[in-house]
Amino acid sequence: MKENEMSVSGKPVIDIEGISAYYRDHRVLENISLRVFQGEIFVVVGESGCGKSTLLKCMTGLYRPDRGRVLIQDTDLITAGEEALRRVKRRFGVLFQSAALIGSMTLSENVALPLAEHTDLDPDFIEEIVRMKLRLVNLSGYEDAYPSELSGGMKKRAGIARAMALDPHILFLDELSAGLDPVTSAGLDELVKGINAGMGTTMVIVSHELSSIMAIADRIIMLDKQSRGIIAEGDPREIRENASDPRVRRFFNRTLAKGS
Amino acid sequence: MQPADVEAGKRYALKPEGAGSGPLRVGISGILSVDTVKSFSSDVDRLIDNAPSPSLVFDLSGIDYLDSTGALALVLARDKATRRAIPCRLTGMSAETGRMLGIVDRDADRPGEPPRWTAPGAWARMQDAAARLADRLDLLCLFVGDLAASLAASLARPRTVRWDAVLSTMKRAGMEGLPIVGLISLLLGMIMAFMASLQLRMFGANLYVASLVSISLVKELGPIMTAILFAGRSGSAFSAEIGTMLVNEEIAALSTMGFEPIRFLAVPKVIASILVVPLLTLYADLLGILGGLFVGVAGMDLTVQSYLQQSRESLEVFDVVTSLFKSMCFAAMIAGISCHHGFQAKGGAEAVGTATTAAVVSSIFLIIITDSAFAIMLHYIR
Repeated sequence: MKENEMSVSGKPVIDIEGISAYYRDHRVLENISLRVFQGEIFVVVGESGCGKSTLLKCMTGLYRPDRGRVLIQDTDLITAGEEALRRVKRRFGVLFQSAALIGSMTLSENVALPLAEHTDLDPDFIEEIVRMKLRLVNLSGYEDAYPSELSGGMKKRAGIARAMALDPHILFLDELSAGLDPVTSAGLDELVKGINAGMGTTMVIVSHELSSIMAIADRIIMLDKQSRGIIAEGDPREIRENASDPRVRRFFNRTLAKGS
Repeated sequence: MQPADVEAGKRYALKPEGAGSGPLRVGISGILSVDTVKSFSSDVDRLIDNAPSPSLVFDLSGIDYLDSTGALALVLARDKATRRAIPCRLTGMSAETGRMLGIVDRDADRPGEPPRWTAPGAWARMQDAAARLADRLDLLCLFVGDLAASLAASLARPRTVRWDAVLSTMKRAGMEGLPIVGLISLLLGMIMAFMASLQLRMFGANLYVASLVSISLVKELGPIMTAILFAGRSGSAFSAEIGTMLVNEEIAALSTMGFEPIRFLAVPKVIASILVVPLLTLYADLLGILGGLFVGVAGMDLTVQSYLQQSRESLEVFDVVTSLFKSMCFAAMIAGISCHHGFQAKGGAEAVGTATTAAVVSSIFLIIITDSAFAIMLHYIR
């Protein structure tokens, strides 16, 4: 039995109930409910503009949904006070689509940033942690390099190292493979799987790359642009084999055809 | 263990057992995470410093939760003991703890590690800086050549110039700059008149305040002040706009669509600047003289008519024409150098900021140098 199949029955680390969200005057999410369990790799898929990134923003507190609840480890992001919000935000890390590294800082300084802000550790120890995190993402030796000196894949790795700086329980990754070649993308997938397996970090990933989804996801949900809701949920391999919804079939078949 | 338990505030405990000739066995239990690691490290350091035994064993069987920072602290403690010639072992690991330690403790065994990036030394940095300077001069020469050729081609075929962009730049750089240029010139004229009156009053030469203000403003301060304000307001904007476009690959897109970036972006800005800066200078001269007039009439008992008459007699058409010509040269330089720095922006947001700063600093430096050259040239021409 797979690890995630065991944990699905446990207590969810993320519990979203009936959220709706607007972008300007346009409704992008309607009555979305989902649960993410401890230690699983959960992938949000769907075509462009279906609200994947908005859903991720709702989960990370960057966007406040109009209704519903977003519980991260039992703290409701919508009603939580400032202190509770600060505490819960320390428990997760976020990798943005562009990696969002600060260009004027070296990789070491980027990774050390959350440690210096949220802990009272000695600078020497922070340096050790930074070296360890960069080693973890295969960027040993690049401590003094600036983001502009790195390739797209390396920036993503550095972004993961920064997101992992405080040993978060949940890692949110927005479009992990976007703009990367298949080899680099596969390397990142391996890295994510390695972190998940080795450290037990729960992963929530937004993606539309089928090869990546099939390689890493324990469970997926598929969002639909028209209905603004979830049209498929579960093991991606089962969904691909058994989906009866033409929209789901189209997503898997079209992407497969493109990839083949 | 569920993460919620980690947040419940449980901490670690150290239980040293045994001593003398046998190993010192330290039982570690509880939570070893980024939140507890600071005090854990100091406790363990103290323990190693005062270790009474020839060897050390850390028993990890009581650990409830270990994150990568906690694992790193354990590895560092073991390494520290080893450096002090105290053999140290980690025992009693659960599968989870072992996995976490395995992730952290693999300094040398990772195959295919990327090449090490090393910071260059002082000599290499000097060579690098010299090469960069040579490159920059080379690029500047190329840009000036390209710009001159594009301007000549545009003037030869005026219909190819993007006149809508020229007008929009004239509006932004000229019309929208009127309030600040006017205010500064007015105040400058007032200050000059006031300071001059303090001296000239002693000789009964109040009327010459008008000459001093008008000659200084028209010949030197008007063009220079306007150019410096233009560099700060509009030169920086030119540089930031082009730099941002470059960083966002908009310029690459223009090139692939067959546009020549210098002709498309820089030429309208240079033409607009050449047209608008002389007008701004004229406006600054007039406002400066008006400022002097206020002080002359209000503080020195001069009449409006006598002040204006004296100003007019002090100036010659040659002064005004050379002042406007000088302004046109400043305008071309500011617009050109600002666009050049914009085209050199490489990297991200920081590069745009650097390009903008470089544009303003270079423009002001060139304004002063060129003005000195003009002062000498005009002296001999007259």
